[in-house]
Amino acid sequence: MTADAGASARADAPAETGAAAEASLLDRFLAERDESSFRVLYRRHSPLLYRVILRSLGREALAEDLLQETWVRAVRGLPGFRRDSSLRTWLTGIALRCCHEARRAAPPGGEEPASPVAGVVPTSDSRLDLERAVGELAPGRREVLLLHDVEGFTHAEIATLLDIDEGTSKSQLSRARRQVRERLEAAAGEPHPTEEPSDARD
Amino acid sequence: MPETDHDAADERLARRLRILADGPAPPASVEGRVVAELRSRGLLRHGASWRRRLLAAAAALALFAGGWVAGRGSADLSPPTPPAATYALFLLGGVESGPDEAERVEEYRGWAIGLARRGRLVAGEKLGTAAWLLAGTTGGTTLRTAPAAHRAAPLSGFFLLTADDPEEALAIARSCPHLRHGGEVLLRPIEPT
Repeated sequence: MTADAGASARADAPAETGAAAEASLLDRFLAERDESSFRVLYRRHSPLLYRVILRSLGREALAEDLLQETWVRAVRGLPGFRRDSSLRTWLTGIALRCCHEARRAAPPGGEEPASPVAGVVPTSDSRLDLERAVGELAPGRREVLLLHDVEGFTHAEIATLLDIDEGTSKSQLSRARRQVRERLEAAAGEPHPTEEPSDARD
Repeated sequence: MPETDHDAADERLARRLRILADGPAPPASVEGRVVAELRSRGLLRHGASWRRRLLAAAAALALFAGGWVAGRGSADLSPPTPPAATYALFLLGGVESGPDEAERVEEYRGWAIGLARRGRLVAGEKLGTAAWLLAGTTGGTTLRTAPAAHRAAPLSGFFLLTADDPEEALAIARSCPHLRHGGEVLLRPIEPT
């Protein structure tokens, strides 16, 4: 699997024409405040926002409320959106702030829940192990891993989203990946081989 | 572990993590709640949603009897994200029922499903034979029932469509099977309020 294949698989990364179309949708929504434009925006971005909120929080209970709160803040703040980043990045920033506030208001109990992403119907044990391993990371590191490896944000974007340096983002990512690999090995009960046969063909 | 082994292992992990982007999806019910909250805060333009307007128009027109569009509520035929323009297509002139009625219904249904797959169908109904036509007079109302009501207003069905522009709506209307069975169709835009 080449890097290009990975990038093109990210269906929610806008191409040039996509970005222009989104700009005119935003213009129309700001002018008309119509429900249909809002629903297009909602449907386009909510999958990403919900995933980030759910995994950043590590529990399902508040995720829907925070998704709702994210959109309310977004619509209120949209006139002030300077479009210096993509809408996707801007919305994710709002979602993360909602998560951080929720975490401060109600810190999780001493131990992380065993199955943090309760809503996920795992298609395989390995996927459940992966979700669990990611969920066991400390929040900051977890967010860097989610934003970079799952959702495809760049270190520059992550730096703005989390208010950290790019260098910090890179080192957090490296540590997060190492930690996840260790947890996966521990979950398997034995070290994973360094060459996995199915990957060797990629 | 040498650095290169770490990098290779990291790359493999990153590929696995990418797959987590396929879900979970937000529950469908959240969308409606968000819209309702935005409206209650004055952040969305006030007024009946397009969906309610269309359903109200449909209810005002017809007694629902059977239906051409099978499986409404299935994922394949759920209403599309509403674009700017919506149209009502009325099928005028009854089509004589006969031995090939079932085949004709299938033809209409196939056409409707084709539209649904292209995200153009909102609703479609075949009208039943019962009809009540009321008119106001100085003495009260007069009521004509079928078949007099049918002769006065021979509607056999309707569709609610979405289209990017009037040209597309007309093209859809032209393709309606009703025209091939001796009927007429009437296309009207639905006015956004």
